[in-house]
Amino acid sequence: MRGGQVVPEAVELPSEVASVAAAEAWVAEVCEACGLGEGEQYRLGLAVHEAVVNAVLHGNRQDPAKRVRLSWERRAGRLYVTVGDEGEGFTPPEPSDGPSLKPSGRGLVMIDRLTDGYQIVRRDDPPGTDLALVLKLIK
Amino acid sequence: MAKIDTRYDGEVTILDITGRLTIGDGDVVLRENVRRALSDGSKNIVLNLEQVTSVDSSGIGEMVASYTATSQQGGKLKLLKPSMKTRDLLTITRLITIFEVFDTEAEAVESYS
Repeated sequence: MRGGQVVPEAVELPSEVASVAAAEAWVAEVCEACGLGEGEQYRLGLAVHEAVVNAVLHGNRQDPAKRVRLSWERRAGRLYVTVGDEGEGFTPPEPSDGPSLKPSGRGLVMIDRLTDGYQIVRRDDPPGTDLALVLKLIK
Repeated sequence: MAKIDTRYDGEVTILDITGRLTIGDGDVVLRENVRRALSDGSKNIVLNLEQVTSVDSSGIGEMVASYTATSQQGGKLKLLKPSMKTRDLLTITRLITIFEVFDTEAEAVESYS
């Protein structure tokens, strides 16, 4: 609840880079509703930012006919934020011992370290891929 | 919108970056300014990150691309005053072992001599 308004449990955004800012604003409200501190807000905010970038660029390939779907729920002492796209899915990169000098491919590595875990779930209806981010809630 | 001002200290080119180093914003501005500096003959480039407000994987990726482009020209790109959050991202991505990072401009400039 923020300013007397309930944070939407789910929102849909266009497959464009500008949606990243809208997603950041939405997850900031989610964090506030859950009473998260500044550090946790930063971690989850950046993780969602990276997940939405992946969904827009790689999942939906900026197809204007496709949408990015965000949802959240609190369950069993954890906050789950799901970022869904209409893409074919992906395989997480293998752990690397050393630094990579490639210009891309760091989003999931950052998500892994910023959150308390994530799951990639293939979805059938509507077809696509969900990336579920998990953050433990401190009581 | 991110902004970059270019200045010089001897043979060292310093890019003062202000704003977000993120997708569709600072990453593009950084790429353009580093390319311009390299085409102008700069080899010693310092990215001053003191006024950078946020960084994402695209910003990190552009820093890496800038580092590589500078190295290919026989030069060296170094970082000045990244925030703790940016340092953490460099650690997470293991790039902290690639970039030379300085807390003062004097140390950064001196490192090229």
